Amino acid sequence: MALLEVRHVSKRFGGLIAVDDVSFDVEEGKVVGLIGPNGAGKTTLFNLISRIYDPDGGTISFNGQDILKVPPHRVITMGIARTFQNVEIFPALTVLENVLVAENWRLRIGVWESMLRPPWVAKREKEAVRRAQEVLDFLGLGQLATMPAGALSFAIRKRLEIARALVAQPRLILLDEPASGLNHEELMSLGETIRSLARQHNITVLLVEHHMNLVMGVSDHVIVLNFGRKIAEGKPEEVSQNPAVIEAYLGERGDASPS
Amino acid sequence: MQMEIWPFLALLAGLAAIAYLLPIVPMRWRRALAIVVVLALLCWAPFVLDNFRTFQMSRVAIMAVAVLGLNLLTGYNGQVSLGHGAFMILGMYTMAILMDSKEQLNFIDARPWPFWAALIVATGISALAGLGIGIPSLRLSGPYLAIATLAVMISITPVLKKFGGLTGGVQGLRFPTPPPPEFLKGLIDRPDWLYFLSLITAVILIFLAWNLLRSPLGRALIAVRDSEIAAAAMGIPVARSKVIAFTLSAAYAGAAGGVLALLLGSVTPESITIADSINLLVGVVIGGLASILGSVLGALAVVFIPSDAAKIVASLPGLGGGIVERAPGAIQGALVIIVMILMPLGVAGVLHRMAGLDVRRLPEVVARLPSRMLKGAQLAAGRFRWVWDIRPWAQRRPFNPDDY
Repeated sequence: MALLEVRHVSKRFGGLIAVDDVSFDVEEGKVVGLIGPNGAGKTTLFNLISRIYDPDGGTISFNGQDILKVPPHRVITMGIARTFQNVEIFPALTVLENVLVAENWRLRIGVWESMLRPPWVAKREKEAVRRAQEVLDFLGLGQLATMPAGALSFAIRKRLEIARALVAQPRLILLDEPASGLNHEELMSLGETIRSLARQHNITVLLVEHHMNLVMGVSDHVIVLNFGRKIAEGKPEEVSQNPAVIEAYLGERGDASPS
Repeated sequence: MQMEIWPFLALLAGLAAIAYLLPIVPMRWRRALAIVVVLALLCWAPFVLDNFRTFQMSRVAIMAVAVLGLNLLTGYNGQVSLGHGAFMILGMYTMAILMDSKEQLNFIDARPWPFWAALIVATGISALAGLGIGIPSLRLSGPYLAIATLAVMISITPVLKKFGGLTGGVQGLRFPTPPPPEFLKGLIDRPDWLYFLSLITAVILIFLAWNLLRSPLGRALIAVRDSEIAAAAMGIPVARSKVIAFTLSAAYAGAAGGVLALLLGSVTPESITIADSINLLVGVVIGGLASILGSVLGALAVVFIPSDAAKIVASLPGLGGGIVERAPGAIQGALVIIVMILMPLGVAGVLHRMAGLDVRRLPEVVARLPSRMLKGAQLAAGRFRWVWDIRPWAQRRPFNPDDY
């Protein structure tokens, strides 16, 4: 049994079929790349897995449990954390507080406990801060902990999102275009980070990315979508030779008008 | 010794600033010291201010609770309410019904309750009302929510008049204000005792809010305000957080109303008007969105601007007579507009910046003030955008093929 099993999932927006009968597996401990041209349905698929959208059909199960039965905020408690393509940080909170938000569900502190703040709450909170600081240090954000997140550069915000997802100690992390807007050096370090997540921390990674070198470099397995359908999957080198994939990316032979 | 209110407030602000800016002493201690200084001076206030000003200071304490309550909802959680006056008046009536010596509807005891028990019940009833309005309000945001809550405020006055058996109708209810407890007899007389009651209530509720806002729940409220979608993905139950914010916020307004009723000894359907309800939001914005200090400063503004602003402006050279004396309301309005343009992050926002200021850089900072104000106005425009985010959740992420 694979960690994440997506079976015959479809999603329509009005007349547009964003995801059309897509099935795939994500094996535990692997880095899986999800690629495809713009509009192929990659982010929609992420939004379906993280329960932002309800699918029109199909099933998604994680670790043998049906995730379509849980509300969006419970997804992270099952072990799935994500980042966003358009970077959804909380600008008014500091870097540390941003990361702490992802620990809320584990802290389970009620309204009365929050208001009266008995010693055991302060202690639990201190532990949460320690864990958050560890993750920030791992991603090289430790120095920025007290900065308001809204004051950070785009690249740092992206890294903060990864930190926020990691502090929840997920088994599967969904990374939505983590490389967009990064320079060459930042790309290299991102690649390192993704690899070490899977190899050293045993966190499964599902990666949506347009940056082919990165995807082909870090993925164990690649899934290709086009117009909402899965057109190919396999090892990176196999997929990049696949005629259907080349066609999706470069257009049909003879399409390009000579100029 | 007698003091006027303005010298007193200036002394308060001055000593607090000195305590806060002490050199060398660590930040935590300076803040604690500033709070102690302010509390000590506030305890001294009724002995140096005249009765009217002491009464006004009681109102400031009460309004601080109500404005802070609204700030929990609007500043920290991004839900705009123009109807918090409704929760206040609900608290006032609950208090009055439990404290008067009439038997209402043949089941509410005619013996007056102890004031503290009545205050807890008043807070609880307002919290329940907040829960009842908060749940359907989940479907509304921005101006739509503001209008819906305004409608609650508009409809509560006729309801209070209609059910006269419970509320005393147009005349409202009167009840004797509670005497000071035994151990304070001789130390503090009746009007001052109510001032201290207001002050203690405010201190306790401000402390609880401060704890709340630095807890996981406080971070959850802000996270939901800034990005519902990310908050949900990080495990925050968005709907639950919003309902909690609404409930707490209503509870604060109800507690404020309860103490206000004690202070006045009476309540009528006109005790809290729509203008008062809107004034709470004015207090939040003038004082500073998402700031506890701002809520207290907003309460000062809400109490003292109507009573003193026109007089002060008229006493300035060349401004006496004319519209200033005939329409004091116009001065209040103009003042609010000026404060909002000059201090777009509220008074607390300005103080926050000043606290981080190095005295040696003062001339340079003053020279850069105009351009900084412009920057501040732009920042504030951004802040208003999230408070007034009129686009419903689904539309915030329109389907764009480039995104998917």
